[in-house]
Amino acid sequence: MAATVPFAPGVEEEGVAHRTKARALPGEGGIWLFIAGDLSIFSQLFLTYFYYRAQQPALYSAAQQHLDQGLGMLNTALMLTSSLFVALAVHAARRGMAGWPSRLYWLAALCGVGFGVIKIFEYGAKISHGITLTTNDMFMFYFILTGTHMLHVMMGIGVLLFLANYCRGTGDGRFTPAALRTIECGSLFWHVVDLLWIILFALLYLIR
Amino acid sequence: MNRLNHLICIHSAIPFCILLGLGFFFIPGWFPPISPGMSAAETGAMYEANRLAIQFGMTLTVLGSGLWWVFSAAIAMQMRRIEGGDFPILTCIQLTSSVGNVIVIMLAGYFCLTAAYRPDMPASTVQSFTDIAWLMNIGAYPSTFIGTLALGLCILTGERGDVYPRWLGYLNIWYAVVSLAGGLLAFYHGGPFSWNGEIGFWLEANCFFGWIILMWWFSVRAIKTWEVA
Repeated sequence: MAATVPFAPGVEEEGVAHRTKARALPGEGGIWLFIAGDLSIFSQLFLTYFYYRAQQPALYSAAQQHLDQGLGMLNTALMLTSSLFVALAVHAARRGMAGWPSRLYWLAALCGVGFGVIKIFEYGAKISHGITLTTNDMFMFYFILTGTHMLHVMMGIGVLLFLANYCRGTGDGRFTPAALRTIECGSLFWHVVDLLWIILFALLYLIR
Repeated sequence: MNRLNHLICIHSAIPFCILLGLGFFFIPGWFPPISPGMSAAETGAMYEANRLAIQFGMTLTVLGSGLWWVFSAAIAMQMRRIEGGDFPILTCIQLTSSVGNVIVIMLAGYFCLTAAYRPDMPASTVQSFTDIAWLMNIGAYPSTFIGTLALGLCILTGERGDVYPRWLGYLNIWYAVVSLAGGLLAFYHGGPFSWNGEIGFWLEANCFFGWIILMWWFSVRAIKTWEVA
């Protein structure tokens, strides 16, 4: 039986038909509503950005030259790496690899903290040049969009630390289906944080 | 337990919405919302032209604000069911944070009443009172944030999962985060994040009233299926 269900040891007793139905989506239904809601808010922010950008494209392009693509790229790399750690952690939890999920969540959280530290330097550089969220419309969007995302990063780091602690408990590395769902819900949130950053990076730093 | 009392309390959401909608927005002619970019003279002239309507509308707003207590208390009783135990802290947080919402709406009404009270008040003073009212009422995020966060956590971590659907817990946490946009109002006199902007007003107002409708609907259902006689 276990051979046919390589990625879901926690539910292998429940029969294949039931498993495929129950595990069609990772996590639980509610988290997907949360994610859809979050993405719809960000879509609304992005549409607003495009609408206002279309009114005065020259101002936006000029302001965007001040954004540091190097730091943005570094942050993108950190986000993608942390997402990889999270994906590996979920994989390890499903496989029942004792000790690994917790370690991988720690690494992912560390990348998240690194992201935050770089953001602080980036904001600091802007503010020291007298650029704030009231300088012009472009920087209004820059600070509010990246700030909203940073809020998500902080919440996400909290979730990752919770999961690192949560996964430490099991001695043999086996998780119940309910525990796996919790792990998947938290991990999904982090992937959304990652996804949003990729969009923000392209939108603000790359499309000039 | 008198089921009817709980139903009356939860239904107070309806007169609340009517009184706030009519009182703060429609009767004073403040829908769509007034612009934060108006000059003091324009604000003064607006009060000159609509004094009585503003006074009447704000009286309804002040009256309606108290209904939020009643509505929140009915939700708190359902949270009490979910949370169980002797120390329902999330219920306490939700109930006390509802006081913040009441005060913000009530004071917003009183500030506008004050601005309309004396016809010889300088226009800049009228503008200041109006600014306080709008920044408070539209940007009422601290109590909304804490209250909905407590409610969301209560639904997701409580002892009982049959009172409210689980997704409503996630939705509350989502709304808690969305409500934080109210903190941006004070920085802008126009654009999407000001008190008449796409995000600052329209998104927030839709979420606020949408949240009330959802909580009202599911609380009525929870009270009707309450097994205690």
